[in-house]
Amino acid sequence: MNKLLAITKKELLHYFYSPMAYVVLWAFLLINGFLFYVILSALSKTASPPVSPLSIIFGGSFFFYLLTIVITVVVTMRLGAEERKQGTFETLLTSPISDFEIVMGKFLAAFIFYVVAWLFTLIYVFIVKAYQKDLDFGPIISSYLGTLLLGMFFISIGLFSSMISKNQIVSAVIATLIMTMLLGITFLEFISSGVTREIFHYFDILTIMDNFSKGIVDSRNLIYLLSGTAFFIALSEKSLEARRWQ
Amino acid sequence: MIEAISLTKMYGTKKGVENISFKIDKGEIVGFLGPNGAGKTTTMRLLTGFLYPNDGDAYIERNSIIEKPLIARKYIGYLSENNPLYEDLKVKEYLDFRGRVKGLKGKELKNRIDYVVEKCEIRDVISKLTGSCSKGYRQRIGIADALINDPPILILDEPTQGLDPAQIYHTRELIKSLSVEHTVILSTHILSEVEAICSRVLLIQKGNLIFDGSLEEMKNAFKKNQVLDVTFLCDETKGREILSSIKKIDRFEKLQNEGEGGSSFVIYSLEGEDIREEIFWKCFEERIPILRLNEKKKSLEEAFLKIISEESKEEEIQ
Amino acid sequence: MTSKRKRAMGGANWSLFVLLLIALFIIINYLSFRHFKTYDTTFSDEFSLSPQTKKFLKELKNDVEVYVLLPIGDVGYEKVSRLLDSFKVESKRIKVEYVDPERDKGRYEILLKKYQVTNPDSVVFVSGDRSRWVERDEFLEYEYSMFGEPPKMKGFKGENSFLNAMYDVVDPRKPVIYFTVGHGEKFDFDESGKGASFFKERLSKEGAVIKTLQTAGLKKVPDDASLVIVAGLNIPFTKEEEGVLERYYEEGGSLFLLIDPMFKEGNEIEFKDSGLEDLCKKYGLELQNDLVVDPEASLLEGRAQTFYGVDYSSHKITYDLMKNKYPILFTLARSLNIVDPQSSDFKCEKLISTSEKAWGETNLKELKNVKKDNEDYAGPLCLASLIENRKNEKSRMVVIGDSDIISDGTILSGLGGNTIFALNVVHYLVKMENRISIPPKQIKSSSIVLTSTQIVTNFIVVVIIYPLIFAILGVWVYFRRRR
Ligand SMILES: Nc1ncnc2c1ncn2[C@@H]1O[C@H](COP(=O)(O)OP(=O)(O)O)[C@@H](O)[C@H]1O
Ligand SMILES: [Mg+2]
Repeated sequence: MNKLLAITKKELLHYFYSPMAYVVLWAFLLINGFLFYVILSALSKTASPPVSPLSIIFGGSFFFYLLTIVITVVVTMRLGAEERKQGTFETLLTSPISDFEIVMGKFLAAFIFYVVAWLFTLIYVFIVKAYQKDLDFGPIISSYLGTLLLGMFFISIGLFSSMISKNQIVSAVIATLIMTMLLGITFLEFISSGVTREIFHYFDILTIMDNFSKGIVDSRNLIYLLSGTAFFIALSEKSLEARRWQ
Repeated sequence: MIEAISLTKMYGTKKGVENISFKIDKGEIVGFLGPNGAGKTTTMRLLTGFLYPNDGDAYIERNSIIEKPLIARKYIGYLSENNPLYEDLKVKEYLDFRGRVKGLKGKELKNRIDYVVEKCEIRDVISKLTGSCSKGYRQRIGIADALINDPPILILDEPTQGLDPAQIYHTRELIKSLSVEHTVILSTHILSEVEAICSRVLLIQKGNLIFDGSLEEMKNAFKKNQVLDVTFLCDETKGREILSSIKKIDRFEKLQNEGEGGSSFVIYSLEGEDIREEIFWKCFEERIPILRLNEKKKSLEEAFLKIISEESKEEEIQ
Repeated sequence: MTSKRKRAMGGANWSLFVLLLIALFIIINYLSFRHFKTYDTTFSDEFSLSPQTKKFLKELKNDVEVYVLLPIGDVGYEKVSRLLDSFKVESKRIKVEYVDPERDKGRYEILLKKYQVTNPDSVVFVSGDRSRWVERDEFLEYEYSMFGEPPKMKGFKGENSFLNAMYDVVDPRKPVIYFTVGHGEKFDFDESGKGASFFKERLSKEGAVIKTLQTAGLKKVPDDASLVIVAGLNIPFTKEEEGVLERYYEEGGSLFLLIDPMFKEGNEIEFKDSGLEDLCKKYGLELQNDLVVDPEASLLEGRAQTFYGVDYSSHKITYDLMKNKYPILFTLARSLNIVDPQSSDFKCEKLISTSEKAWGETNLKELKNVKKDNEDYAGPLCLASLIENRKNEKSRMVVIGDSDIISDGTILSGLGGNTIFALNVVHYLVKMENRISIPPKQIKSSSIVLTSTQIVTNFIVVVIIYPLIFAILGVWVYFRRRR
């Protein structure tokens, strides 16, 4: 565990010592803030549509997925690709630390960054609370839960892409491709029917996020996101071992 | 302490190293000597578990590097050839990270960092980014990293490569002082480096281990004597008689005949002597036909020549 | 593991590992697909099923097939599938099939024919050879706006309508309900159901057979009666008629009495008896001659005789109403007073009471200008009560001091609580309490109204200053590291 945390700490130092982290946070909060502002003012104008401003920020709009993809790709793309490019895998993989610890340490660091970014959005909750006294916190809590789980899933995808890529650009492209394909299941669901449709429905991230943002925590959604995360973490770990056999 | 058993590594269809076996005991300073592309780095990567062999295995303190990689790697401090560092960390952050990854923590970690900083003389750059350190410092930071968890074995891949003569001198002194407490394996393509530091040499060429022994033995092996492979049409006693009568022959050995009749010998001359003519006249006198006479070129010698020539080329460049 | 074996596994079989991993992923998710649970995190339990739905589903003994004949983009589609999902969580016997009228045209047509569905957008429930379809208007409530905008979904009552449909297909009992006639009753249950048509229609829909009962000269309540309802009298019951009801009740019958305060003809400033006072008194309930006024719960200022019941008991009849804060509207009600019954076999339980501020006005001369004085009954007052008979478990009785709670006028002006309450009482009385109605789920609209200054402030804080903090932080860290 200590070794794992050492990896995490090192990756966090990388994030926060480089200006990139702040650029990402700035852009993330700028876009989310603007979205929030637009929703707030729209809600005050027309006769209130039956939506909560927060549910739009969490999965209710195209921007949510854009931001989630961008932030998870940016925080993961260098995790493996950079070690390979700099050759530091050689020192890392010859240290008495298991591949699993390396992968989980990196995963945890990216996840912490992601969590921190979303924690800063709590300010919107406080603002809405100030204007809406009877705010139901249940859906807000589950929205954050869903956002974090989706983040875990996407981070594991990004981590895996980075582990198998020679450079950050390739890693970013692969990760974005996988994530977009997963989101594209919505489209497949739309054009299919019957059992196929039900299967696509199960894997449809838009539905899943919609559930979370409404306050429904469904074991199917939890298990899909968690098992997906485990899947890509296992692949990442295996890819490290495969390097040694290559 | 370290035992390699027929290590083989293929890079796709290209050979990295083949069938390399050796044993290294505690306290030795071993030099892997070989020209560029011989397979030194590959061998070291197999020992450190960065690569797994296609065949064979290596044991570090009796722990297989494949089956018990974590235990095996704990005994090794490794300075890799390119010595990659995390450029955007400060030196102390880097050492702190490396110490933790190797399982150190708390007071012990702090003490070890202090120790390696003193030992490798990197106190001056402790608060600088590793990326902004000079080549000499970077090399010492790499050695400090290898030393941080006080491993019994140090594996250093070309530790003096790319350094200026003063830095080379310093690094060699550092390695010598480390060899008191650690078993050291280093690789080099420079013969004089082995002479300066090592007590034992493993000579690698084209992926094969072609010599394993002390420096002394290697020098003997490299003496410029002639080795001949001859077959006389006579019985063994007669052959021995003829050869014993020639003064310039150092020693000879009877070889197994390969069905052609007569008796075969391998003959070593004294240093610097050509004995082919003398053997001919002697046989002529005795009326014994020579069926075959070959001069044997030793691959060891070839390798040695190659190393020497590369070394001189490099010196010319400098 | 020997290094040879490990080598064989690690070296080449990276693809085998991936296959195994995919297989594991599929197995886990298949199991998760088949066995799932949902948790509702909303504080209002927006997505939770009511206890009786859960109970029904848990005890389900026959398979129920559900065909959702809705186009995928339908307004109710998502709500329906979410609800059916939560049904599936409770019972493995629920099988759901979604049939899109457009895409699965063939199957859709077959189902329409097979189950004789006449409304195109319906959900069909089938068990064995019985089927029942629920049309969209039965599970959705709309709010029609005036400016030609499309109607907005206002409420979702799918849980109730689906539950009842399932009851119909698994348990097709048809209770017979008698309404007494011949006492100048306000409502006409004979034909049109004039005055209480909504209530009558609901009862029929729930599967009840509605009949009327002429009590004059009656010796005995017919044997097929599951329930006798007395609602909106104007002419008092005679002693004989009262006796018939009493016997019926004590022999295990069910009575539902809705008795308004009654006034003398031609002289509307004096109360008169309903003829059922003795019956009620025997069981411990006093029908008080008063007119309840509750200024605190009144609907309109200055019309305090029309008000909401405030205090609901946690009895299963009112439990869901209480939990969902569904108000029940009373108009011109009398209060009930719980006294000692003649025999300890009987026990009265309050179902609904007024607020503390209410009182029962006894002086009808003051009606123009009501105020509380010493002769009036002081609040809180009981408005509806349930009577238990310990000697005969089958006997059930509910008394309400107002018949307007089931009138069309009240049901139209209320928020739906009245129908639910009345149906709950009926279900309880005909011993089908598991069919107690569940109030519809309101679809919440969150309204935030900001002034333009607030909007500008928000813009400056959230869009400009807040993100800028991180930009500045970044620049600072960057230069610090460089030094
Ligand atoms: N990653 C690699 N992929 C393919 N071939 C390699 C790789 N690493 C080394 N080789 C080849 O293996 C042989 C041995 O290389 P190496 O061990 O680096 O030699 P040395 O360290 O003695 O210079 C060389 O022919 C080299 O080209
Ligand atoms: Mg090398």
